[in-house]
Amino acid sequence: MSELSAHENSGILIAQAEHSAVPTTTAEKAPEPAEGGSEEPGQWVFFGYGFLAFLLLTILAIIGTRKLKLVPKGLQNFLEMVFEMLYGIPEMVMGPRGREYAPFVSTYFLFIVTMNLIGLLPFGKAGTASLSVTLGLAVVAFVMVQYYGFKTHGFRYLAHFAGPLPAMAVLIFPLEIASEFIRPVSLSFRLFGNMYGEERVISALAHLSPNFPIVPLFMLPLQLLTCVLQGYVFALLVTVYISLATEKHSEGHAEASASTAH
Amino acid sequence: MEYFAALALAIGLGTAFAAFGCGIGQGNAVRGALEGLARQPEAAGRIQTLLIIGLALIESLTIYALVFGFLLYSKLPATADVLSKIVTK
Repeated sequence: MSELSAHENSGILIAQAEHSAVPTTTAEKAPEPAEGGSEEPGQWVFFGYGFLAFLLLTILAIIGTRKLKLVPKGLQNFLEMVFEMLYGIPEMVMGPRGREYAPFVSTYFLFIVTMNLIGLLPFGKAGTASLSVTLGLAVVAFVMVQYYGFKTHGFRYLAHFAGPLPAMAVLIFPLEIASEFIRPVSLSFRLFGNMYGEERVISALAHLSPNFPIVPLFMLPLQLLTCVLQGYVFALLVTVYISLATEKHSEGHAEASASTAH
Repeated sequence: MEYFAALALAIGLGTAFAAFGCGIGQGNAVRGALEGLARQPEAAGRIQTLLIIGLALIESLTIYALVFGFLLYSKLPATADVLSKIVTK
């Protein structure tokens, strides 16, 4: 994709209008800040920052679980609070059976929020500001949802896509399959759009006010909220998808809001 | 040249329209949350959680439009080049 088509198009129009040097700078100048979409080495920077987040979380976990006390203090206290909140997410969505999926979902929240927050630090870049990273996370979520579905229901999991009435299965089936496949797209784009948009807003603000480097700082509270919230929403949506895939048909749960959550 | 004019117009208006719908949607969500809260103040914690989740989901639709804006923006030539071409014409 990338600049080649814009270059070609502008080349054609300019050749029609007048014989002047085709601006080769068009291709270089057009995506001015954060070009990370087209160049191969550029994306690995985001992977590097993601790896940094992974290292930070590991170190935090190792330090926090040394010398565990029955009455927690300090870092252990904080980690236990976070743990309680994170394990509450699957239990809020699907009740006590959600505990089985809690570690998986908590990993998403912790990893994404850590990556996002690193992006707010000076000299830090959010790993999630790259579509590659978020798409990777979303594809893993998609695969795991299918895995949990097959694990719970066996091959009857495929009957989930048939919809409520067996008579309409032929019509409903492609619709449900399509909606299942759109989920990783929506997950990844939501996270990517929020984080990359944040980066662009900061760079635009910085460009607009070169003499007052303090100005982008006004975005910081909103950015903090967005970082944590988007991680929470990602983890919550993965939980909802898992609950949809693994729900037992015995009681018709009113997860109506969940089925429209794309 | 009309291609770039149309592209610039699309970039400008795309996210704007999406934000318009998002504003209405999120306004409805907040209204529902506030009404529920007014009826039953003790459900505040649960309502707040659901409200934030709902707002994030509605906002994500605007974010999709914004991502397309970024995508289209990368296809636009730089202003300096266009100006130089117009001037030399």
